[in-house]
Amino acid sequence: MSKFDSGERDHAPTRLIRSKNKAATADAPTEHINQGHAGDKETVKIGSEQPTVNINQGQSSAGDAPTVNIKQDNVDFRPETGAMAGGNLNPASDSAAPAGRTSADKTVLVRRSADTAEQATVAWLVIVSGPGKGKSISFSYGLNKIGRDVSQDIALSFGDSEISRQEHASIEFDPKTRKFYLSKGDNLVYLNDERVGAGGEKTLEQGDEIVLGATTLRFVPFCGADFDWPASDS
Amino acid sequence: MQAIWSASQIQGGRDYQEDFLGVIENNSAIALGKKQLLEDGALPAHQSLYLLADGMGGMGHGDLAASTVVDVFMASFLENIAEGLDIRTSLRQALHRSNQAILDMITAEPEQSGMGCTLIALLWDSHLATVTWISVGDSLLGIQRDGRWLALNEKHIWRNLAKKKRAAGEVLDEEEIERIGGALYSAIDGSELSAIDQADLSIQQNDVIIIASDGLEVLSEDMIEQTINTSLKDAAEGVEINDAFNTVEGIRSSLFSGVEEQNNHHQDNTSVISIGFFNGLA
Repeated sequence: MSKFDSGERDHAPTRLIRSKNKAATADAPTEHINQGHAGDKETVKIGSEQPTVNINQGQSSAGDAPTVNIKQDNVDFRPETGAMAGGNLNPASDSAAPAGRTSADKTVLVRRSADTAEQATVAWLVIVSGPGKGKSISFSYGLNKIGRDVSQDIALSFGDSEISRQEHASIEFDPKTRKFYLSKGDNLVYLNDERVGAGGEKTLEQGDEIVLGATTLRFVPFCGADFDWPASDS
Repeated sequence: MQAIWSASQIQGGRDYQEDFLGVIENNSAIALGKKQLLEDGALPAHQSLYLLADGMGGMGHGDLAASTVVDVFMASFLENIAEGLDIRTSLRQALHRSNQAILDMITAEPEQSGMGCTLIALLWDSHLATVTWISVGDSLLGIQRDGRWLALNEKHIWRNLAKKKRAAGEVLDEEEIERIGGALYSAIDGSELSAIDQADLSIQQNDVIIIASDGLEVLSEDMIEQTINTSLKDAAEGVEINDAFNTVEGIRSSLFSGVEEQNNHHQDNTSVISIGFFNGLA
């Protein structure tokens, strides 16, 4: 059974049924712009309150911001697990304090909850040729999807457009066997010049070369037969 | 007035995550696991944009649809603002641009056909003390004000549409409505957007806005209201910024605790952004 056709609403993933298939029941409007619960009004009003324009002139100082732990270039949280938080502390005016320089490094917060600690490194991939040459990417436990989209576990976002955005290939470290496995995703991947076929995974060894698009990666394991992180560290 | 937010996701009983969140404020775009610095003034400093997309269908490409829509919407919205369009129009055009992006992908790779997502995009303007949103699908947007919960957006599910049709005197195939009632009739899937919800709301001090994917619906509206009230009761009084953060985080985490207490093994992906509005934080 498709995972999309479960009948019970609370358990069913979101699904869409277009009106063209259901003309006999209740046609969806062609383009209906609903203006909110308050009926026809463009501005929703709750109760009888009037819109309040309240421009607060206060501005925080750097010392006010709790647990500021972001890096400016790249916040390293996982959208799947990470909690994040931030605030707009409303600089006095845009002209007095140009947007972005005002409070970017004071008030934007990205905090990890206790259960989203950085996962331990199990291996690295080093780009030995192609865009991003010389850069390395570490990865951790679980199935690591490789693609050029930044959402990927191993994001090769250095400009090689021959790499699929998502799931070009994937690598997994199996703590039971303490081995690494490379598998094909949506696009061609080669291990030491040999094609990795669909449904067939290949074991990775130190120094193996993986080719995706115009990029060649060298595999450098950290965990393996001689070492694995204790369960509590991972 | 100042807006403080907290966001996170749980995967529930699913082996995939199709919800994507994004925030633009303070010249940064936070989405898809990255924070990107934007050009100065890309979004005026007194505004913040919050996004949630819940993916669906397309042989498991729901995550691709949702992440694409978050990505494209943010870029398009900023372009529209830069061109001097007003907030409503900017939101609207960004929505259509996102829908076009999905159509382009499906055209290029037909096996992705059927993928799509819901979207809530909410813009906070502290000078106007107003939020403006655009919403397609059945994700949840609501406000807690003076202890009462009120859903703000209209959910584009067949059950709701049928209610309107009945009120207008139409005779419907009730069995069919029963069968498909929870399904969407409008989503960002590259087809014409058959329903769009857009409105403004003026914000008051101590309002709390919640944006969530439909995974939160294992909690009834009464339970959401009660959970937020309990959380607010426990919150520290005061205008310390730390207290404000703790308040919005407390609300967000207590909603997740509520979801977990339902102990639903088939729990859907659930994402929550809680936004609290405060005066005079220091």
